[in-house]
Amino acid sequence: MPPVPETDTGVLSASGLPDSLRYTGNIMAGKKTLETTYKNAGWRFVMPAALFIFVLSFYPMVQAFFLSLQSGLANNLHFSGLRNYIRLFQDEKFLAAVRNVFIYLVFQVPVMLFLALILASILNDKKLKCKGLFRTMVFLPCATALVSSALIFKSIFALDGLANTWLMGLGILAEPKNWLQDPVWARIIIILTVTWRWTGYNTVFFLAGLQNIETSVYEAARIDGASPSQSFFKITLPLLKPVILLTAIMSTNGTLQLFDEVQNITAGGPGNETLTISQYIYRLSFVYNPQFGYAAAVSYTILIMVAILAFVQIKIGDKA
Amino acid sequence: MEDFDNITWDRFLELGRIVKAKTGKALVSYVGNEPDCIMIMLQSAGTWMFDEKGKPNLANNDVLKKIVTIYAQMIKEGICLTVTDWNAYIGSINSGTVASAVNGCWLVGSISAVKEQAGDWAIVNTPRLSNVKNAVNYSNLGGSSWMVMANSKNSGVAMDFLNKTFAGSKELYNTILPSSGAIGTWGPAADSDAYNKPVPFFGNEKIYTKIVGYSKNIPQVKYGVFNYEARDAVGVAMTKIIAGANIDTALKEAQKNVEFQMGY
Repeated sequence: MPPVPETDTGVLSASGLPDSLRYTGNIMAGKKTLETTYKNAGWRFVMPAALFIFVLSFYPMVQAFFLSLQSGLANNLHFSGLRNYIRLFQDEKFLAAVRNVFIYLVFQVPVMLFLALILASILNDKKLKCKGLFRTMVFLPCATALVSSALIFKSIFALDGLANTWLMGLGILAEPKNWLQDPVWARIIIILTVTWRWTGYNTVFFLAGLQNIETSVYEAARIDGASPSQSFFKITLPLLKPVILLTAIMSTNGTLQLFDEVQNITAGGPGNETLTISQYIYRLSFVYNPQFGYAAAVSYTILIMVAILAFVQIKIGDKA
Repeated sequence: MEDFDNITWDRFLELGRIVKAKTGKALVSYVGNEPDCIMIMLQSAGTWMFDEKGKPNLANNDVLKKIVTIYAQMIKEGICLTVTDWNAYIGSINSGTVASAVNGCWLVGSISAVKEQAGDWAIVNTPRLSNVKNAVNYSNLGGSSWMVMANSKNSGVAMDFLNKTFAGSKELYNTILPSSGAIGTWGPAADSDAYNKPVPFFGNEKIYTKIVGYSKNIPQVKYGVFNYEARDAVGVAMTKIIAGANIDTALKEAQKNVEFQMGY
């Protein structure tokens, strides 16, 4: 039995606890030290949540991977190795969906994050009145039901909708324009809907990040003669880097999995022009003859794409 | 209305041009990406997107080419209006944005919903393809079917049940028509009372007798298992063709697409 120190040296050990409370490696001594109690309690708190995540998230993910290695219709599945993944590259619909999703990504995410940043800067202004009201207004779109907002945007841009009525009234259009049947405009409208909805969400993140920056930094910059744009680019942006990284990765993830808006507004658009990968998975599983194995393989491509993009973004974030 | 009965699609287009010139309105409408009209025309010619062996029949299908050409022309000339979804489709019929509807008889319920239009509507048969052999003025779109699975445990009992009800009971059809508006395609049902009543909305015509009479002439086609994949592919091809793509190329791509889906 190792000796227990009789005196407390008064110096904090590496584990941050005074000597007398350090775990001495002697469970049989019957002394329940505080550290073990903390550790065990911690595990007990984390265990239920971890169990849920494992059973409801990780286990299905692994099952989905095994499903993606099988092919066949409905329940007649047989093992086929990587065949589904190889087939992907010859699938015209899948390639069109990937192209569409990347168009959305490239145009929608930067625009939305930039808008959110500007809005957050404005809302952070100390001299702004009715801050609470404005913040609520900015966040409200995010709290609406996805399907409802998508349907409203659809009716605005319908042949006899608000957009056409206004534009014709202003004399800009001679006859109603079929917005949603035009490939380019259909995509623009979807980007518009998604941006309208999620800008407020990202604004809240940026606002929280901005409020962590001490005003003394800005005052010092002002005294040194920095212009507002200089202090924005040289102080705000670098200090917000972690938040920007977080919102960028979340937005990328969300846009790559886009489904609700596209399904409700264009159902895939004229031909395959607004089809997204998630929509294709839905069709493969529930509209066409169910090919669950192939659909699982398509869903894993989203995982791979998100993983690669997140990795790239983190690397860029570290460098800059 | 006689002008529209037993006509060809070419004549339909001519009449459509007259209507457009006089009223500025389209003659018919369809949902933008859905190839419903093409399906109607295909079955009226006795062919389908699949051949008898179940292989996709899109790329070298002359009938489909002719159909697609007619449909594209209807849209280009504004005789056919394309709308975004089903609600807009029903809206275009109910609000008078279009003058007619070429669709399954189940549309009667939606058309009758607008009381102010009572007496303005009538039923005629579908236009036929003029330059296709065996094309008739009758077709089928959707509706429900009863199927007995050959491998099921009591298929004999199930078939007997169906034989005594949907394929054998005039009383059944008599009951479900007035109460649920369910129109059956069983020939003898035409003799029942409910089917022979004049319908005020359609100018007191006996429309159900007419419809059941039409149903005797519908060409039978084998739909096959991969119907929805093929429908989707034809819809995509249609969109490309309306945007100006070459018909042969678009249909070849559609065929490739269906073969891909079938090659799991």
